[in-house]
Amino acid sequence: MLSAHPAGPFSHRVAGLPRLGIGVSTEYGAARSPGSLDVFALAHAHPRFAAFLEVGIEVGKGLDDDARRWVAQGRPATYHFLDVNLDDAADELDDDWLASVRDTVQVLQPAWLCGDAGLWHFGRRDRGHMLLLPPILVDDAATDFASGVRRLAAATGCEVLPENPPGTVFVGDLHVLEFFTRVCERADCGMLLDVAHLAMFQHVTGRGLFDDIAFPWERVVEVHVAGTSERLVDGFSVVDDSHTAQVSAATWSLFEHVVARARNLKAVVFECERNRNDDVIEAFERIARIWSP
Amino acid sequence: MSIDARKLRTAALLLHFDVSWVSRILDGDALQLNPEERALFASIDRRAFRADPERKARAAAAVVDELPVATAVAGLPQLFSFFSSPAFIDVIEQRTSLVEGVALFLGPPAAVEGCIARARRRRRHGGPFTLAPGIDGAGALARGTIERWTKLRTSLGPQPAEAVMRGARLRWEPMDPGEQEGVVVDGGLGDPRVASCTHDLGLLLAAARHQGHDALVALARGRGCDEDEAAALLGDLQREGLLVDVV
Repeated sequence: MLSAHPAGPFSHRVAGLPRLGIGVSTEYGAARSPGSLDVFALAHAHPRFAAFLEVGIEVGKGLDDDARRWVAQGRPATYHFLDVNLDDAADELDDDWLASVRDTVQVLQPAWLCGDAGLWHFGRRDRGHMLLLPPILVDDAATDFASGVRRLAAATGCEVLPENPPGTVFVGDLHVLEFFTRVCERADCGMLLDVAHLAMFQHVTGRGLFDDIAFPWERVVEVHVAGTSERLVDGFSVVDDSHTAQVSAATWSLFEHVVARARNLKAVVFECERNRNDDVIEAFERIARIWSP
Repeated sequence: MSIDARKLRTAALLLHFDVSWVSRILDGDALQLNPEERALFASIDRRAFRADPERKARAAAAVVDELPVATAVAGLPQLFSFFSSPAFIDVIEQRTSLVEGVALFLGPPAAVEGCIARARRRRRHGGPFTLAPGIDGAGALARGTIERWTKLRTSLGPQPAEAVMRGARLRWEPMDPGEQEGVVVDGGLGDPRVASCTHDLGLLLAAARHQGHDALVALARGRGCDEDEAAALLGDLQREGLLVDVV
């Protein structure tokens, strides 16, 4: 583990994190796309399914009008970064980027920062990348990501939750959960566990759904649930993180498994921003049957 | 023997962008993976690297947006070939921006657009260097480069990137390298302003990207100024907003 967190160990800090409930995610301009989710209509018709908004942010784009309107109404939010490689100190300590992150935190007042701990871009941060590849699953990389989590938490004053990214190729000798166990323990932080991404990992690495599924579950603060799509590439089966309304049986099973063990779970996001409201209610209801905030 | 996570990350990136890297990295000696590192790829079905064939096209689209003339001259296949070239490794390992790396790869027709790309990205003054935010420059351009680039850029119409993606092509005839000019770009606000300057001034501005005041004085003196003239020149450039005063 790195040096002690100034606000005390995670086991104490987690008690101070708000219990957000079930929420939805968005990113810049997503709500204005034809056929996409209307978060305000959802919050009006089904307030328990839109208890908070997870805002995906590239600082180069900032917050869109819908995100600003959401927070202006005093509604809870989380900040999901889309543009930082946590394993790269030079990337993370970019003064311009950090200043913009702090400005956005001031507006959003997020309960915490979170985001995929992977490779969002290569070279220097630039517009149009949105690469998102998973981390290299080896021990040294876990140490680098843990350092990044601590740096970002110190720079923003916010709790930072790394998320397991999606992928069709995972390189390394560690199971993705073993990798993030090391990240979380070395950074002494919580975890955003995306169960759809986890199902993708199990599938693409040829594992059974519950093979090697072990984690310090008390560190799971947030869970993502999302629809996926399976397709063949020259006969090889891959699963895309398509965020459709159709959640796979594998994802539901993992969600139930995690919920039964994650005693510090504070928030569940159904990632469905590009679907119509009527098409997502069934999945929200199933989430609510499995997890009661 | 040890595992270098950074090298593996570079390998994974290359493999996702261009399938030609698969045999060069996993079977050949590109990146020189050691046996332990190579073994980490052994269990991966190589078809998985073809799961997102549009990845390269998406990255290329962002490049065309900023290098329309250079891409119209080179052609899209040449632009795509960047992702299978050692220049792509340089961008990844040296942390340069993709657009700047491709501009270098595409050569003289990309000189002006490469300058504009750098100027756009220099938002603030960041270190002991002397080039002002939003400014970039270059020397060693064949005389007439800026005039030619301006005409070609205009010929692509109001939406140059779209024109290139629809297949627009341009010709860039060889130019006499004997006579040279420089370019200075102000990309601080709105549309960047591009102007020609002397070859020497272009060189000085290019050097100011990475060097401080004393090095620029030395450079000016090497180009024929005495000490007082060099100091006066830098003072003038500072007053014009091209340099900042960093000692």
